[in-house]
Amino acid sequence: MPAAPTLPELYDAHAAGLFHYFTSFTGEEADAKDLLQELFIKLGKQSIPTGIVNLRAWLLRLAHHQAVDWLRRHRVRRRAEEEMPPEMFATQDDPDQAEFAKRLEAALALLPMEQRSVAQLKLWDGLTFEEIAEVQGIPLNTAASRYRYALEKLRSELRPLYDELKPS
Amino acid sequence: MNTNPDAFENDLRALKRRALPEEWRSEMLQRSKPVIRTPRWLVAGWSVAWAAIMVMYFTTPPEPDTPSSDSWSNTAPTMLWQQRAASIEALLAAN
Repeated sequence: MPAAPTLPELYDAHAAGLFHYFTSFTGEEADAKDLLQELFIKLGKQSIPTGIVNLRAWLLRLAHHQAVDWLRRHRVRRRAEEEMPPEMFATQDDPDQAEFAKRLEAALALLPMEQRSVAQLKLWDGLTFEEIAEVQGIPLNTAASRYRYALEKLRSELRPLYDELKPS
Repeated sequence: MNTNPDAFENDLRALKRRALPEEWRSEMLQRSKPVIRTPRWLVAGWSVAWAAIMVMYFTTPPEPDTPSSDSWSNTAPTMLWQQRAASIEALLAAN
């Protein structure tokens, strides 16, 4: 059985993904950073179980519970259009790609939180629908339908720019 | 359930999310270090030992007073002088 990962190893491999997942709930970088710090303090206090098959999904499940608690405490569901969307993607060298990334950030911010978080897990964390269902404690079909709705909304928001940029 | 990604999904997926600022790493890991706590049994043991010491301290009667070296220094020559005077008188009386 492999040894349990150390905190620095966990940070290097998963902190960015966890931070972006938190951002999909909080909409604010500062709050997402606080939640990430809180999660690592918790991880520092407990012993990481050995033999976890999917460490990323295990961490995301912890993060999900924490984010739900945070929402309960703060009783906020920010209206995305009132906020500047958080910067999510790395700087793009190509100006077209940079514009697309910016528009995608804005389109993601417009999605309902449930759909946005599922889209994040599927597209950029590479989780399967089964894993997403387990992370969020929702039925498999719900995870799949939230993703489908999210993708369709993103597609319709980004369609003009995407068609323009996409080489045919 | 169709799970095959289309071109649009693949293009979204290809976008890299930004990395976290470098300084966060040391900051977060520093704050996340586990705090080494004294085991409870040791804390309890120390508490009991200290309580016992305090009880013994307050319940033990004080030791009786012993003459100080000052009083010895004051009384000893007088007594010796009296003893010597008595022995001289005894000698004189005997003669």
